[in-house]
Amino acid sequence: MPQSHIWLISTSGKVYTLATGEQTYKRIPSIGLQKPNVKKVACCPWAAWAIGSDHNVYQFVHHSAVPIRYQEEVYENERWLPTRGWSGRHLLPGLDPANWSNKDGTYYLVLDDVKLPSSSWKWEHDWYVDENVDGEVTDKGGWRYSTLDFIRGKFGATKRYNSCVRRRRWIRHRIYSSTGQWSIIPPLRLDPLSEPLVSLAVGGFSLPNATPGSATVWVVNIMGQIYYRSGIVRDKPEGTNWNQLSISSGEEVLCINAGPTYLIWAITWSGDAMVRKGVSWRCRIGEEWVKVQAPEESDHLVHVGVGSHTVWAVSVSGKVWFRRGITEAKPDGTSWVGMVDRMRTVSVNASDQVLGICNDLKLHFRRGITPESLSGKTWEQFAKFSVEHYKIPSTLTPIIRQKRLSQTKPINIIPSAPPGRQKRDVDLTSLSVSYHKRTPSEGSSLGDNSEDLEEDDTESEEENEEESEPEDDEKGLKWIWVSASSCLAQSEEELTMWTVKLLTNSIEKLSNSWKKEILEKLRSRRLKEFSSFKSKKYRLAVEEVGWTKETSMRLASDSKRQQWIDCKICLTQDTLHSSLLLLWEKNQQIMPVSDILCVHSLAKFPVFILSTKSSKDYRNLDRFCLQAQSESEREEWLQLLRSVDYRSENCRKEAWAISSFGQAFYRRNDAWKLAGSGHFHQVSTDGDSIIWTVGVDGVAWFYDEGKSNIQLDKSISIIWENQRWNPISGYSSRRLLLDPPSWMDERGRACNKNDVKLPSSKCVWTNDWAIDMKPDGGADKDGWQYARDYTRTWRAQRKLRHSYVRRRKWVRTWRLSSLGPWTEVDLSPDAPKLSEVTVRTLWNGEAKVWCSTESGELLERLNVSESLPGGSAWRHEAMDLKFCSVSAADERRVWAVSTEGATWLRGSRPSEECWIHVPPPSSVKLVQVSAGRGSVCVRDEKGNIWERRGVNASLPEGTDWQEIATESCHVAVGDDDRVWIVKTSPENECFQDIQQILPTNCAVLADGWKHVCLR
Amino acid sequence: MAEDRGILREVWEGKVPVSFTLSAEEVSTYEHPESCYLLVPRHSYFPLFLDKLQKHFINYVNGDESDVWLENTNTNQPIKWHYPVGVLFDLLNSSHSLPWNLTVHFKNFPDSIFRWNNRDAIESHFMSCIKEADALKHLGKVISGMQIQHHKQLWAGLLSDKFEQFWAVNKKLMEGDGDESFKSIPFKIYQGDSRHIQKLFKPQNERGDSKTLRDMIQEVAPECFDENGELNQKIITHGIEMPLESDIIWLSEHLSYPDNFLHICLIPLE
Repeated sequence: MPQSHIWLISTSGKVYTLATGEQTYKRIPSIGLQKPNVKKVACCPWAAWAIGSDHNVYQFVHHSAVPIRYQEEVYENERWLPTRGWSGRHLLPGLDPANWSNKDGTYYLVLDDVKLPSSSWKWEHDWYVDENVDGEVTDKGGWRYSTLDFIRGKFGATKRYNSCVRRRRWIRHRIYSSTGQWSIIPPLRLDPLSEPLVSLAVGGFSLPNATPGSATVWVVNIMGQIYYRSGIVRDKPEGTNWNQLSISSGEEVLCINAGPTYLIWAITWSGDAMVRKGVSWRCRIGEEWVKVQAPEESDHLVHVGVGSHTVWAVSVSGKVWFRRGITEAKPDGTSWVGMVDRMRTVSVNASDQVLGICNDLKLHFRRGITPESLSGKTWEQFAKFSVEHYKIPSTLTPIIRQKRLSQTKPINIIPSAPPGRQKRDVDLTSLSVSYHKRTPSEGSSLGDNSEDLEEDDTESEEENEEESEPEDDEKGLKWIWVSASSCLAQSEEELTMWTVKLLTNSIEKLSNSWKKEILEKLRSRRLKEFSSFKSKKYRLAVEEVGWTKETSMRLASDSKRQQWIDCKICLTQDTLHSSLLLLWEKNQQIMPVSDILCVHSLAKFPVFILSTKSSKDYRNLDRFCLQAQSESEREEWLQLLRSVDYRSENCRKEAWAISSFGQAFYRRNDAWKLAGSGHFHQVSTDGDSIIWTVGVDGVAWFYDEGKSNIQLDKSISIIWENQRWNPISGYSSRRLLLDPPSWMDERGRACNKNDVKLPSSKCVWTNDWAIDMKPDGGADKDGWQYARDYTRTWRAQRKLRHSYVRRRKWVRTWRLSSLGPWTEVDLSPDAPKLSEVTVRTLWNGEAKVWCSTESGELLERLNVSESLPGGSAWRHEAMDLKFCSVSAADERRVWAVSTEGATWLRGSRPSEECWIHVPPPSSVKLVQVSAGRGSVCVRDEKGNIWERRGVNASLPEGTDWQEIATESCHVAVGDDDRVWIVKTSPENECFQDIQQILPTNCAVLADGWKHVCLR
Repeated sequence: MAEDRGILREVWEGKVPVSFTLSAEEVSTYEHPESCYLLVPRHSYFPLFLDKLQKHFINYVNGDESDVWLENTNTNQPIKWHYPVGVLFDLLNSSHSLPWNLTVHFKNFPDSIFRWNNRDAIESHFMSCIKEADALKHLGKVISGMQIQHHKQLWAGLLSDKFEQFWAVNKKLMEGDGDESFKSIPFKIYQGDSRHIQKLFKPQNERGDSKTLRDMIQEVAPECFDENGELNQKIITHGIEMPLESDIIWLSEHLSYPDNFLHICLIPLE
């Protein structure tokens, strides 16, 4: 579970954060603030905003491994005249774009015109010509040529006799450089003090279907007007401009708060609440106001805290109220419920857990909040924690612009830390001792501040710029403001951690040295008592007899699993070996357990599949698909079958694979064993010790054998709603004979919303079925995609002749918490979501790990070694392309596939760290690469596998491509030139085989897979 | 987890070498019978092997076969049936002289030990220990939720010394239910010949941290520690001395005997 933070303001106006899972308050330095104190703070998972004591709005964006980087482009256009040659001055006015223009040619844009949007951005480097546009290498100088004019012609790299126009693309990158510090947001008025701000909130950062990284920031000024900042997205964290939101009834607003999704509440000066209705990703500010009365006439509301589905309010008397009945359709709820205790402020986090500050300024959290009882039970105080300065994570290293082979370009190395940051480092080391003029001796405690309780919003007298020592929590830090909306703690247990201070010796208990001691002692006992006496003289008191376990199950009679016949399954264990017997109708099959290659479980029913070596045909497998009577029985049998021959556990694991259901297996002695729980998408390893996987939700894990960690998995279930148009009733669910069912799952089987079951009883749904508004291909405002037929391409627009069918995608996420040997690599809140990972161990025990993220960036994980399999930091490889697949061939060479389908190779020239473009086989778009020391294979989008021939040490990029296989959905290359593929099976994903192509042809090794890695 | 499983297996496969000698006074033939040497599993109970002993010695005795009882040769103490073999070995044979010498008697059943009639008595004693342990751990919910065939499977696994058979069912008894793992730890502490100590012990302190073995001994048998906090006894189970920092819940899950109790013997240091 990634960490998340709550933000607090102490009585002296300094900002602190507290992370889940930790017990130290971290003080955020005041760099960037014009005055060192802050009045209000509001946060979302990736950033925070604050109102400083000078009434300016400031923003704090967290560091992330992948920097916020934006690519600016300018096109230079030229036309050819027979007399003058190529020139930019002879462009036809009116028809051609200007000499320098934007991509569409619609307006004039010179290189110098492109400016940084604000002082928080920095240019990464200077302008340079892009030599690789849309996956194709351009001509010398970056030019691409076209025949007639700029609009109709297609641009290509070759200059032909009839090329009349050409253009080239200039690129410059800018990065957001003020992460980890406060940066000012342009104010509403020129003089912010003329209209002081009284309230600040940020919301809408988890709206379903919204662009990731988008949020809305709300402020209220002293005159009661509401303004919001629009245009905040990941690429533009400071937003575009301020807009006013008017209140038609003329009320004046005192304070505003917004939740992560659709709730926006404001409290007016008259003590009532106003709620914004109709908030969605299309309309982030909602459509209309609805008024909510105060709970009691005399008891005006003064503060409100808003979560995902709950709203808490505090009234003038300090009484806490909970609003009941809030749903998306009715965000104003139905009634108020009063709570017994008194609080000053409350704040609700994204999972509806509540934090509050009571009258003596101590921080509490509400215990007992569950989905059934959203109002919780009691308030519990936070324990005392230590305080330290916020440190920049040491993960960031200077971003070095990568050179590409074709041309020399200016390389600028810009350190990622602007000068201000160095100053802060210096300040950390030289702390000044006394900061408060009032406290004489201690200089670091807040004891004397008790008189300041009433004046919570005053500005502090100190004007000194030096960072002072963080206040020690001896007497207890006192708080005036808390904002929890960025905290993602799901359950009370995670927050309970903050109410108790863990003893340091609990860390000792977590180390398992005593377990090892016990095992050693047991082994020596065995030697002493048993092994030395095991001779003919001493008989065993209990003779080993076999035992059998027998159950009746059902067996699938054909591969489509449409018919089930009763069968009996019987596991017999003798002293020497165990075997499994299957009896059905008049047949029987006996197989020794050691022949069972793999046992898979399937998602939906209590079904599992046994694959064994077939006695008839050594190249194929026998598959038995069995249905147990209940899920617990299936679990029991799976455990039994998997654990029966545990003794051979110390063999080397040869290969790892991910089943089509997402479980990780490793191969040992021809049989596949399950490696813990969890749902993964991809695995990579080199050798035995460092094994990384990528989960279905993009989280990276590494394998930690022997440990049993709590793993949180998230995955998505998808169903499609299909409709066909007919002239009588328009779009309806009436189908033609060959159409897919009107409600179907991803594989095309008929399935209703209620039919979709969770994979196991321990999974929990996290939300209800919701329409995915942004499927591949786009959708209209209701989420429908249109196409001519079910097999054609889907579009968002409904065109008359091309929209006979339409479909809609429904998604629902589920969560599973289980114990397993996998540990998360990166727990920070902004951990990059990966799509692929590749591991290569070096001779000295360290490993090189390269990853590609879901957004197409390339990252390298530093300091990965056997003692630290998770590495320590990310390094971002700054490229101007997006990548979808990466594979490390050896310690230096890395192959990657860009989203346009071309391959790139890094590290082929020993002296330079640059990427070479390796053209794919002609007119083929590649999607995946796998590289070994001696061979490289790629897979294209049609499922064909190509091998690069001619790869050797002197020419690592090889000579040309050769097709070696078809119909596969994954390829993996091992060290000793073995190539395995996962063959697609037309009917059923579960029967996909892993086959070894080279050296021997097509020996089937296992089935039911979607990904494999051999090392 | 691999370590844990290795530990479970090692614990299960513990066997002690015992040499059974017929009591000299009861030999009714001229020849003295040879001793019967057996490797007895630590987790089992003596009455389950008596038929082997009877078969071995039957020719040399003319006493009443149903009155068989065992005596620790060195100390002349009768063996208590209802303790597991491993507990008796640790308690009585602390000097670890191997093989363990026991005398078999066919007459004069002493009054100090319980009489037992047949194998079913042992089974019901075993099952009642398991139920008691489950009541301590889970308030009895798990065992009452199990089917009869699973209860039978537990006993069958113990009888035939089959690890997988036993643990397929025992695993459920060793799981916690939700937030709390065990309400209290089932344990018995044996010291010399006196009655064993069995007290209520909550495995988690108020904060929710689980306690160690040291905490438990300090709470239930504080006399083991002298003024400096050093141990003056050895804390033995399954024939090994347990490290004091071991997590008590883990110990209960992995080092319990098949009856789900932690049987701990306190042996004074020499």
